[in-house]
Amino acid sequence: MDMHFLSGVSVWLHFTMTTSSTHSKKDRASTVGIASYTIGFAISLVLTLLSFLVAPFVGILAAPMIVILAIVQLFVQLLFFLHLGSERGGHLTIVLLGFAAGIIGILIIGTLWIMSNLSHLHRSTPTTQDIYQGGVVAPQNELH
Amino acid sequence: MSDCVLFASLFAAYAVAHTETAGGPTALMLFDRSFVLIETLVLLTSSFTCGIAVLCAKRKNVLGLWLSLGATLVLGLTFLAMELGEFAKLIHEGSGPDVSAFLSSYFTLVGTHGLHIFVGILWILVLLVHLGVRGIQASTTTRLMLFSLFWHFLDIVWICIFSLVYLFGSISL
Repeated sequence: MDMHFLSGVSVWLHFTMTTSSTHSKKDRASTVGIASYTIGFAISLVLTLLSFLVAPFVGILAAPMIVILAIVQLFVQLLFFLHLGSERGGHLTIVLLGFAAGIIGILIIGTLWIMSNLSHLHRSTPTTQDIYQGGVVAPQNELH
Repeated sequence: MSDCVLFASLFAAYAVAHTETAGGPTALMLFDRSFVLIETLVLLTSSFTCGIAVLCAKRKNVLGLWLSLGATLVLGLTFLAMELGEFAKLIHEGSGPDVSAFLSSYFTLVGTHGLHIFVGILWILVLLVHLGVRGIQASTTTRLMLFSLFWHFLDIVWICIFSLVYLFGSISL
């Protein structure tokens, strides 16, 4: 019984590894074929349910947890669904991903920084009524 | 990559505007977690069936390809229908994109994702027609790989949307 099962598993593994022509022999078996998608789906499912469960209970502390769960799920889907990073010599892929992350980071952090700066600066602008009091420029608003 | 930049800028806009509710409804009032959970699971499953479709194309499994691509189509349509239903309900009760900056940025971000899903659905239809007329060709594997890249990317963007927009919104951040 055991031998049958083992030989069946090895045949299946061999089959999944050799029928995908876009993967090199260097890929791990878990990131190839049906196993890849099943594992990725299962892990993503767990992470999604965790996020939704954490949200109502922990309150403000849930925020970093949700972000971490989202980032982990992102990488899980990148690896198991998109196969980005399952090759041993795939350093270029990691560099490209890092570059994309850098651009996105600059965009989002830069926007938030600039907008918060702007709203802070505009908060203390005096109105026209403040500047002109009684028909003359109020002393504190005179330019020197 | 440029799609990534598009979504990043829409996310940035939402991050800036999500507190500007102009006296209108806030995220806490509007977002229904269980509804979003179902939407998320539908899209995640469609990503899985898309992966199965790629495998079927590689192994020239015609029936499997029809079934998995069809499943992806049905799940994608379900997701889109749910999203459009939610939008219609929001607009109907007076929380349309014209009410506040928060709602404008929300509708734009989630709506752009929905538009991408719609284009993906059109793509599936073209793939299915081609499969029906010509059967599996040498180019089928390549076409499915390209489609699956697009579809998986959309699921990844949705991870960010449901985490940062819906879940953050519903815990009063």
